[in-house]
Amino acid sequence: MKKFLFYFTSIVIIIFLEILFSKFSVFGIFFIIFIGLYRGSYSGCTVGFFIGLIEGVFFATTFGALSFSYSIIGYLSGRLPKRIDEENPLAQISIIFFGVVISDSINIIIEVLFTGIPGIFSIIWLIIPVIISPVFFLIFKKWWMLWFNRLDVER
Amino acid sequence: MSKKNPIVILSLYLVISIIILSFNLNPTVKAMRDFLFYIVVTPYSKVNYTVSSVGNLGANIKEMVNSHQEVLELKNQNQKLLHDLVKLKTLEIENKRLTELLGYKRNINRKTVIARIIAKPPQQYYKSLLIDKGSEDGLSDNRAVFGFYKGKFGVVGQLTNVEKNVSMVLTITNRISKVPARIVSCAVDGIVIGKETSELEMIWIPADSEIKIGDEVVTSSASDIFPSGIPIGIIVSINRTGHLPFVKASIKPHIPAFQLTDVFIE
Repeated sequence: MKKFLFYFTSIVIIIFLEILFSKFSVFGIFFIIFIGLYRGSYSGCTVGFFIGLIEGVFFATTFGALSFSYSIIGYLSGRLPKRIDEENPLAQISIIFFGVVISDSINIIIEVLFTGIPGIFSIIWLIIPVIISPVFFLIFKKWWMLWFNRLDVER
Repeated sequence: MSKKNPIVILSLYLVISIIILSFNLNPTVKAMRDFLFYIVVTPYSKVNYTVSSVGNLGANIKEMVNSHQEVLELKNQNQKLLHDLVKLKTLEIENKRLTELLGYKRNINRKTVIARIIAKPPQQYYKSLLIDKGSEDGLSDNRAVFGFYKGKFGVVGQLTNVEKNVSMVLTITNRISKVPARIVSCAVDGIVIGKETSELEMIWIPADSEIKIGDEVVTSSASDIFPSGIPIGIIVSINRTGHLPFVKASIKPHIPAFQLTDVFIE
C-alpha cells in the first residue's frame, strides 16, 4: 500500500512538473529509468506504462504511443546487466541518453505505423537535462528514502 | 503475472497500448486533455498571477505613494487657483465699481469725495450708514451725501459723527432727517421727512397747489446743507385729509441708500 501511495504521489508530482515545464518534459522518462534501474523490470515497465498513459493524455499526438515506448524503456532499464554501476553519474547519463533516443525512436515508428505522420525527433532540447540527469537521480533517491528506509537494487 | 516474470506484464502493457492505438482515441483524449489542462493550468495561472502581484507589491506601493503625493500637490495647486480666482473676481468687481464711479463723477460735475460704505447695520436700516472716510480726508459734520443708482443721481443723507477715518451718514429716510424740498412741476416748497421705511413723506405742501402723482421732488434753496435742485424722489401718493390748509405726499426716493456701495460727499 505504501509503495502504491509512493508511486501514485510520484506520478502526480511528475505529471504536474511536466505540465509546468512542458519544454523539458523529461521528468517522466528519468523517473521510469530510475525505477527500472533500482527496482527492476517489473516496477520499471509498470511505472512506464502508467506515466506513458497519463502523459499521453496531456502531451502525446497519438494516444497510446507513450505508454508503449515507456513500458519498453522501463523494462529495458531493469534488464541492464548488473555489472553496470547505476551509481556512476556517467553511466546514468549514458543510460538516460540511450533511453531517450530509444523512446523517441519507438514513438516515431508507432506514429508512422498508426497515423502515417512521422513525429519530430529532436535531441537538442534534451542535452542539458540529460547532462544533469545525475542530479535528478539524486533527488529521486532522496525522495525514495523519504518514504522507505533503504533502496535495494532489485535488478 | 508474477513479479518474477516482468516479460509477461510488459507484454500485457504493450498489448493494451496497441489496443488503445488501434481504437484511435485521439479526439476523445483531446477533449479530456483540454479539460484537464483547464483544471490544472487555471489554478496555476491564478497562483502565478498572485505571486507576480505580490512581487509587484513594492512597486505598487511606491506608485501609490507617488500618486498620493501628486494628488496632494494638485489639491494645493487647485486651492491656490481657487484663491486666485476669488481674488480676480474681487478685482473684477472692484474694477467695475471704480469704472462706474468714474462715470458717475463725470456726470455729477461737482467737486466731491468718493467714500465706500463699510457698514449697513441691520438695526440701523433706513437710519444710518457707515463710510470709510473721515476728518483725515477733509470731511466734517453736516456735509451733503449723494448717491448714484441706475443712472440717477440723488440725495442720500448728510454726514454726522465724523471720526478720524470713518463717518456716519444720517440717511434722509431717518425719522430725524428733515430736508427742505421743492416740487418741480409747481414750484411748491415743503419739508421731506423720513419714515424709516422705503418711502419719504413731504409735509407742509399748500393744499391749493396743483401737485400730482409722479411729480419730481428736489432739494430747495432753503437748505444750508444741500445745494438746490438735487433730485430726492417722485410723488407716489397724496394725502388730503382734514381741514388743514396743507397736504402730505409720499415720496419714493431715487436712491435706495441700502443698495449702494459708494457715496459722494460734497
